[in-house]
Amino acid sequence: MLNNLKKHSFLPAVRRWDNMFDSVMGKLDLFPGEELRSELDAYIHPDIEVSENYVNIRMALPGYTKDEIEVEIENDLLTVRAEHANDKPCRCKGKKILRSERIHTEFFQSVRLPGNVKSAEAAARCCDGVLTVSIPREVSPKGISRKIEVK
Amino acid sequence: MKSEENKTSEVVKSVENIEIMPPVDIYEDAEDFVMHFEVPGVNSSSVKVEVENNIMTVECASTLRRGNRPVLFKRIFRLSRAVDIAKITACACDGILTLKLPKAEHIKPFKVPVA
Repeated sequence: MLNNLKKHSFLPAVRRWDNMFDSVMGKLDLFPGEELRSELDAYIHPDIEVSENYVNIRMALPGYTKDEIEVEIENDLLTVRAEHANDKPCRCKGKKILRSERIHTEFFQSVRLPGNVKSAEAAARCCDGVLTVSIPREVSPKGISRKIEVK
Repeated sequence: MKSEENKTSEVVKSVENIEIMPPVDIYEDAEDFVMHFEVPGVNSSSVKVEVENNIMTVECASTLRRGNRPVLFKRIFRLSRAVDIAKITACACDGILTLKLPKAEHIKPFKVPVA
């Protein structure tokens, strides 16, 4: 992923310009370029932070409310599903679509969790289009160490 | 000495934003052009929209991080005279930034009253 970020931070400056309202009157660009789609992968991938006591997972779910998101843990697999209650909200009558880059299909992602997680105590929170799942881990007892004399 | 300089430049790099171009849906109705940007981790207070010489810059500081660097969503548009710049409004909710750009009066269809 780091390679991806490095690659895309060098996108030509011209890619960051959109002649939107000039193109409104002429040609339309309804499909995002391959470069834009790859750049978006940078935030679509979940952030996973593993510590001794907790696993924290952050996922970008822009446009979904908490009621539209379903989080499930089965064994060591965390699955997140999200679907809009009102499908394709901007595709209504009386509106002319000028550009459509966002993906409006169902969101689905699975993440394999590290061992010793207490899935019954997991908590999920959605704020500003970012889902955070926190799962406590069982702390494994520290091993007893002893010195062995070399004869 | 050289390695110290390298270390310093690494530290400076680590606090720089990482710029990402957010995807956008745009539609128009009779009164407005409407833009929906995908900007996860952004609320209304972290949105900056500026228009200068008909160039509109949209910047949103996100709570998302990549590595040690905070994510900044940024996109630039050139507006035509079809937009009434003074009446642009912005609102961020659930990671979606909505911009409303009202159409200028002179491009709205003029209905001729029939006597």
